[in-house]
Parts: sequence; C-alpha cells; structure tokens
Amino acid sequence: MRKITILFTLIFGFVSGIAFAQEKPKIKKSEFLTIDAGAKEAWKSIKTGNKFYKKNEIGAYRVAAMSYATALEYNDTYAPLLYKAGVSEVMISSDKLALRHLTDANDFSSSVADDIMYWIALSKHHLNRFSEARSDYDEAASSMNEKNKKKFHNAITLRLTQCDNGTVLLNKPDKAVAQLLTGEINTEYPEIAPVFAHVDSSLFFGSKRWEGNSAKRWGKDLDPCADIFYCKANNGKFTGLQNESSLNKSVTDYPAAISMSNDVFYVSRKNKKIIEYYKKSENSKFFKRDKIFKKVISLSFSSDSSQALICTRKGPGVQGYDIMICKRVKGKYSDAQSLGNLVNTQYDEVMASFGANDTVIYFASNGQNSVGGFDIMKTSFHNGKWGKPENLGLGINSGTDENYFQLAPGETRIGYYSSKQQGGAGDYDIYKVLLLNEPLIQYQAMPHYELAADLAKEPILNLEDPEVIKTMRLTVVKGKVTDYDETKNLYARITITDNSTNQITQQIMTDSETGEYTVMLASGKNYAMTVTCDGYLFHSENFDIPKTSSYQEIRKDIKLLPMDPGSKVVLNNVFFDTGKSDLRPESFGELNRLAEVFRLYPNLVIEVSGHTDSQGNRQHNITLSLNRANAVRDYLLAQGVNPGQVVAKGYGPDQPRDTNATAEGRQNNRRVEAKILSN
Amino acid sequence: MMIKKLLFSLPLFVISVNIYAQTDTSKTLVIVGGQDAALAYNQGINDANAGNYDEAVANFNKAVNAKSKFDKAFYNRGIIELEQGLNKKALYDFDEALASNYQKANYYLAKAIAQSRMKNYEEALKNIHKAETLGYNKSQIKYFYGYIYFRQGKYKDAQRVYTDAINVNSKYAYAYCDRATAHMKLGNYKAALDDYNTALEIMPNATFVYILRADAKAAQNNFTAAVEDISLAMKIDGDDNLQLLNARGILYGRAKKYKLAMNDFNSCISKYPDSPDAYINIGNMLMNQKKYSDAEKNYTKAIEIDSENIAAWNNRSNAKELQFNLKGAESDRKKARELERNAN
Repeated sequence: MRKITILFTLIFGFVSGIAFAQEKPKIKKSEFLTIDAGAKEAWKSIKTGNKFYKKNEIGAYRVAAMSYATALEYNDTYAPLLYKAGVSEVMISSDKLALRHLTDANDFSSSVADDIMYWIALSKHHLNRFSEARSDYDEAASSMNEKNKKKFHNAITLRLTQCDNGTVLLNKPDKAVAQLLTGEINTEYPEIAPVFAHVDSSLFFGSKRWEGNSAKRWGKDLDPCADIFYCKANNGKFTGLQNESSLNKSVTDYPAAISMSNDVFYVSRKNKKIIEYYKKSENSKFFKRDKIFKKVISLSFSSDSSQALICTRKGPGVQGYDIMICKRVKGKYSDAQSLGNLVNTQYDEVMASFGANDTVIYFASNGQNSVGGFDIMKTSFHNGKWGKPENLGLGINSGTDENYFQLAPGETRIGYYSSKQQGGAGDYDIYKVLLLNEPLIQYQAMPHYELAADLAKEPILNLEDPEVIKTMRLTVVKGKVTDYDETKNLYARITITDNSTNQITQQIMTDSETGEYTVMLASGKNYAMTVTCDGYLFHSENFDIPKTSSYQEIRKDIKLLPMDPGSKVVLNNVFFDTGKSDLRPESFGELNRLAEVFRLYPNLVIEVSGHTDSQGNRQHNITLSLNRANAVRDYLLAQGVNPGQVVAKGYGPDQPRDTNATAEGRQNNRRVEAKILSN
Repeated sequence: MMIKKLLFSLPLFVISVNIYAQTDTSKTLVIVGGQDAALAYNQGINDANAGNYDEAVANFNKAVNAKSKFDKAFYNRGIIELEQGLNKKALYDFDEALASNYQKANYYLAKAIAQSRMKNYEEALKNIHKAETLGYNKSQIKYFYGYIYFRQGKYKDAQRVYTDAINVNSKYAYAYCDRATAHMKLGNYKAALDDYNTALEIMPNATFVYILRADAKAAQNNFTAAVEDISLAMKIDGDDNLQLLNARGILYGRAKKYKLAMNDFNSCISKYPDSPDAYINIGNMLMNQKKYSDAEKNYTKAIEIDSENIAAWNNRSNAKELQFNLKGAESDRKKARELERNAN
C-alpha cells in the first residue's frame, strides 16, 4: 500500500511537500500605498511579511502574520495583502482571523488569487463549519485553473470526505470531551506529547516556546526545536514549569513514555526518528542508557510491558506512517507487526497508546474517518484482529489536528492530548480528556411531542356519561303550635314518624317566640306527627302527603290542651285492622309517647276510650271499642304504667265527633281518645 | 383524549332539618337514597372535568366499592389513570370494565391505548380490531391504527391508514397532522408541509399544528420559519404561554440567536417562577455552547424549584461530567435514575 502524505504538517515543522504558499498575488507598492502617513513603516512590514511568507514554514508564517497585521493597520482594504495575511493565519491555526481576512480579500477582489476559495474553505473546515466548507471546496475545485486543479486535486478530495465525516459526527453524541489545561503549560507555540508521571503528578510535554528553551533552530524552521518541559499538577492547575534539561538535546525532543515506577523515561528524537531510553539517577536527573528503537517516532507499552506500540514508516521510499505492535522476547521488543489494514490506511496513523486494558488502542490518523487533519481514533482487538477504528467524535476532534493521546497512568477514562482546535492559546495546546462511559443524553425540560395525538390529545376517548340520579320532591309542612286558646305561642317538640317504616324521620323544636315550625317531608307517604310541650297534653296527628313533582306546601297549626282534667286528645296514630282489636305495630310509637307522659306526670290518671262509626251492630261496636281501649291500656301497662292510672271505656258509636253520613266523617269517628281524669 | 364535559348535574342536597324563615323551593328536590355508587361516580366525572384527577379517582374508587360491577366507573377511572400516565393501573381498570361489559367498543380502544403506552403494540392492535368490529367510529379507528404503526416505526403503514382515515373523514385535521409527521419520518418534507397546511385550513386556531409544523421546519434547520410558526401560535394562545415561550426560546437557541432565546426564557422565569423548564432550557443551550459551568448553575436553579425534576438532575450530571467532576456527576446521575424508577 502506497502511503500518501498531503497538506499536513506531520507532528510539527515544515508545511508538507506540496508548497501551497502562493507568492502571488503580488502586493504592488503603487496600489497598496494610498497615503503618505505611515507608508514607509507599512511597506517595510509588507517586505518583512513577504520574506517570511515565501519560506513556507510554520515559524515563518508566524512572523509573516505579525508583519502583515502591522501593514493592515495602514491599509485593510487591499485584497492581495488580506489574502496573504489570511493564508498566514490559516497556517498558524488562527482560523477565525484567517477567515475574516480571506473573506474580505474575496469581497474586495474575487480574482485576487485562483485558490482563495480553497483557503476560505480550509479556515471554515478548521472551525468545524463542515457543510459550508464542503460547499466552498466544491466551488474552489470548479473555479481553479487547470494547474491548480491538478495540484489541489488530492487535497480537496480528502477534505471533501473529511467534511462529510464531520457532518455525520455533528449529529452523533460525543464519546469524549476535552478541557484546555490552564496554568503555565500552553503558549502560542506548539505544546505536544503530554505524558503524565503518576508517581509525582508531573506532566511532561514537548514545547517549541522560546522561553526556557535550550534547543536551537533546526533546518529552515524559525521556531526553536522542541524541548521537554514539565509542570506539577496542583488542584487541577499545572504550575512550576521546568525544562527537563537532562533529557533535552539540540534536536526536537518530546516525551514518548514514562515507566510506572517513574524512573525510566523514553524520549523521542523526532529529527533522528529514534526513541532513547533514560534512567533516573539518585539525584533525580535522567541519564541515557540506550537507543531502543530506530526509525520510530512514537512508543507506548502495554500494562505488563509485554507489548510495545511503535509508529514507523512501513518501508524505504514509502511515505507516511503505520502503527506496528512488537512483542517482548528475552527483554527485547521485536517482530513488529502491522495492526492491519483496518487500522493502517494509505494516510498516516501515528502516536498509538494502549487503553485501560491492552485490547484497546488509541491513535491519531488523518485517514480513517477523520474530520480534518489528525483525529484521535480508537480500535479494539476482537476475534484475533484489531477492528475498524472509530472516531472519538467532535468532543475532542476538530477540522484541524489532534494528536498524542495517552491515558494518565492508572486511569481508565482520563488522559491528555494535543489539539490545534479553536479556543486554545495557539497552535497545538495540551488538553485533559475524559472518555465518556456512554453518550451523554440531554433531557428536554418538556416532553417532545411528535404527534397531534400526543400533543393535543385527539378526542378519541371520552368519559362515560353520568348516571341518571333518581330524585323526589319534598313537601313543606309549615304551621304554628299554640295553646288551645291561641293566646300563647308554644316552644314545642315536633316528632315526625314515617308510618311505613315506623322510623322517626325528623324531630324539631318550634320557634320559641312565634311557635312556628317548618319541616320538609318526602311526598307520597303517610306520617305521624306528635307535638309535645311541658304542661300540655301531647297532640297526635296522622296525615298523608300526596305524591307531587312540583313544589307543595301544607299548613298545619296545632293547638295543645293543658294537662288539666277534661283535656283530651285523639290518638291519631293508633291503628287496628278493620273489625279487630289487635294493635298494629305502627301504633307503638304513639303509645310509647303516651307512656312517657305518665313518667313525666306520676299522678296522672286518664281514660282511654274507644269509638266507632255508626255502621253495623251497635252492641258489637261497643264491644269492639272497649276491646280496643283495653288493648291500648294493656300496652301502656306493659310499658310500666300503673293499672290504677288508666281506665278503659268503650263508647261504640255513641260519642261521634263528625257526621256518619260521609266516609271522611266516619273515619274521624273511628278513633281512640285519651282524656285526663286527674293530674 | 378529551374528557367530556358533564352535561347532567343535580343539586346534591340532603333533607334539611332546619327551620327556614322562607322556603327555597329548589331545595325541596332531593335525591332518593341508595344511590351512593351513582352519586360518587357522577362526582368523579365532575372532578375529572375540573381537572381534579386525584379527587376523581377517589370518587370512582367509592363508586366501584359501592357497586362491584360498575363498568363505567372502572372505565372512567382508567381514563383518568391514562391521563396521569398510570398505564398499568388503567389497563387493569379497562379489563375490569370489560369483565362486566364486553360489548363496549370504547373499552377495547381504551385498553389498546394503555397497551400502546406500555409499548405492547401487537396486543394494542388486537384490541383496536375488536373495537373496529364492534362498530367504533371508522375514521378514528384508522387514525389509531396509524398511531400504533407510527409508534412501531412503520411509517409507511401509518401513512397509509392516516390516508384511510382522511378518506373516511376529509376534515380530519388530526389525521392530516400526524400523516405529516409520518411524511417527515419518510423524508418527504414537502408532503408534510402540505398536510400541516391542510390541517390548519380545517382548524386554523389549533396551536398544536403550528407547534408540529415548527418542529418540521426546525428539522430542516429552517429555524426562522419555525420561530414564525411558534409566534403565530402565540398570537392564538397568548404570548404568556409557558410551553410556547420555551419552545420559541429553544428554536432561537438552535438558530444561535442566544439573546432572543434568553428573552423568551427570562419571560418564562418572570411569568412562571415556579416552573423549572426555562432554567433547564437555558442550561441546555449553554451546554450546546460548551459553557458547562454556567449550564450547571441553571440546572441547580431548576433543582431548587423542583427537586424531583429528572431532566435537571440528569443534565446537571452531564454538566458536571464535562467539567471532569466525576463524583458529582455520578451522584446526580444516581438521583436522576432513582427518580426515573419512582416515576415508572
């Protein structure tokens, strides 16, 4: 498989082989200089910018960008300057500013450079604006001249795929998240290859910063070579920056690995592509023991050190890097085997490290389904081979480069990596990474309804109808209770009994001043009404309330006789069957009340008299009436009344109280009376 | 489901023993005794229509205790339980109702709805079929078949039976509306818009159609048009509707118009200080902007308002996790899961 390396700055250093830096468009002095004030200084900045712009190298672009920025303060409407400033800013990962300059350049003159849409697309791509970038790459490809089309063909083809990958990942949950390290670690220069020393919580990393750097420039690079630095972790911040001089040489150095015991340090000498092995001395300085790997740019060990992951070129003359796995045999790592075609692509796979167990490997790739530059990928060992890698998502990856991921020692979810993503201090910065156990699902405050059936509740289901409730109409019975002469309103107790059930339905008192009363009784029934009042003979009433569905009111005024000899009351609620003298049970209520009167008046003596109508044999009627009077007497005696207090008499038809010519009159004449004889 | 308003109501006065200076003639009409079950049942309907569901259930309980074969009371109690999301209890009640009266089509349909809520779609389909054979309204039966197919993810089948429902009743706005959602699932945005528009021609004041159409437009990333739909709904329902304000705020947030989103969420907060929803929505918007710390603060406010809000606990867990506060995240996640278990 032939490796292809295009566009990218592998690790860091020079921009890749295809020189995209365009010397054109030329910044013409006569067009750029518009006014005299500041013209001299501005043109000087242009010349400096152009000088470094041509070098096509990251450190030089940094200088060019600064120079062009000074020139833009003089004239920020000149398209060729805006174009070059924009390209310089893209190169040093200052993409927001780059996009502004390039868009302005295009607005002022769309013909300023044949490839301007490519750079606009690239800056958007770095900013994760994948859909827009894709559209701009397409436009760039169609608008370029034939020479550029050929030159940019591979780059644009790959970039389009990456934008598609990015669009897919935008809609997928993140599998990891990154947090920029604060403190002294990150600068505008690249910080790479974080390696955490578990024992003393030190973070080692490579940095191309000028400050504290012992290294020299290498080749055309204007930035210094990287040195190894370290900081101590303290409450989430990294402080106490130190150059680990015992590990650094005058080439690009960065940490590869540290042993669990913290006493063995593996250093990558990038320029020489070797890994060196250092041991810690008693004075905590490292001293070199050996070169353990040649032609290798990264190294990582399995938890038991039985395996090592290396990143190397597959063979002489083949571009790009592959990840190989070596087994430790007799103290040496050998027999390097490729992780296989599912992992290693025609592009670069680099900086591999083992996961929490040795069946997972993390690495960086600009092939696979990268969304732009290098992305962090994960592959798992399954069924005897390393499986298809998965992109860890836009929580840590972006349209620009991410690299050097390693888990912190002893951690299963927390690691560190370097990224050029927006929001950092500049170029590669070091971030802490959290691998998510499961995708974080964001709950909505309110349920999300998809259907009218849920949202508006289609009226399919109604409650069943109510039951029809049976009602009845009460009749209002009103009246007044007075003494017999109607000279005194009485405060009397009124007891209403439902004769069909012999149950007291109501018991009320009349108004103490007016003697008025009101009761409401179910219509269509027969009732007994008894009125009692101290000092008065009780009154007994029997009445029917006719059925009705409308309002009905009945008036019943009651006059009570005093408890004096001669006063008498009809026992209206004492009942017998026709022609018989056995008391019907519904009579007991009335007779009980009469028995109660004897308890209130111990000296009371009454006559209970039976009366009939005139129909039938007189002697028979007299006998019947006497028998009925005796039945009442017997009942009263049974209730504890003294025999001497009740005299029974049968008058037959001889003392009518109404006419015998009518049924109603005869009904009134058939009765039992109680008369006070003495008290 | 809409709980029908009670049309039949009796004054429930007991026989008075008081003395009235002047008699109120209406008070002489009273209820015959021995109707405890019916009275409790009717009161349950009154409570349900007033939205007092707990009281309604208590009265339906009284009704079935007083009359063990009271199918209508079991059914109505089931309807309230469905409304309360107590699907298992509802299913039991519909079974009880059917045990007393197996000829009622709506009992089968209600049972089907409970089963569909419990994701037992095959059984639900059987009961819809029974309701259909007992002569339940055909367009509604077709519509409910559509609901089940939709829930099963059989969008083409759903589309077909929604069309059947529309063929029976061409003014069936709900069927147009839900066929539109099926169209969306099948990627036919234009057909979906046509159906939403037809639904609005039939029911021009149905705010739910605007909400669903806004959803469809948002799914096409057409947030401006989606916001316009919610704003139209607000013209109908008023601009202080909590659901609509929150919905519009969310859309503004998705359109990255954060200031306008905050205006809507702040309106919710000032008008409905007891609702945690706006705080959760602000938190979600901040999470999408990777402002995890600020998001956490808003979720905390939501929890202070409603300590049993599952979304607030879950999302705060996410915010903590993304700030590498793994212990805090685990604690909040545990609480969210516990609340979820209790809710189920």
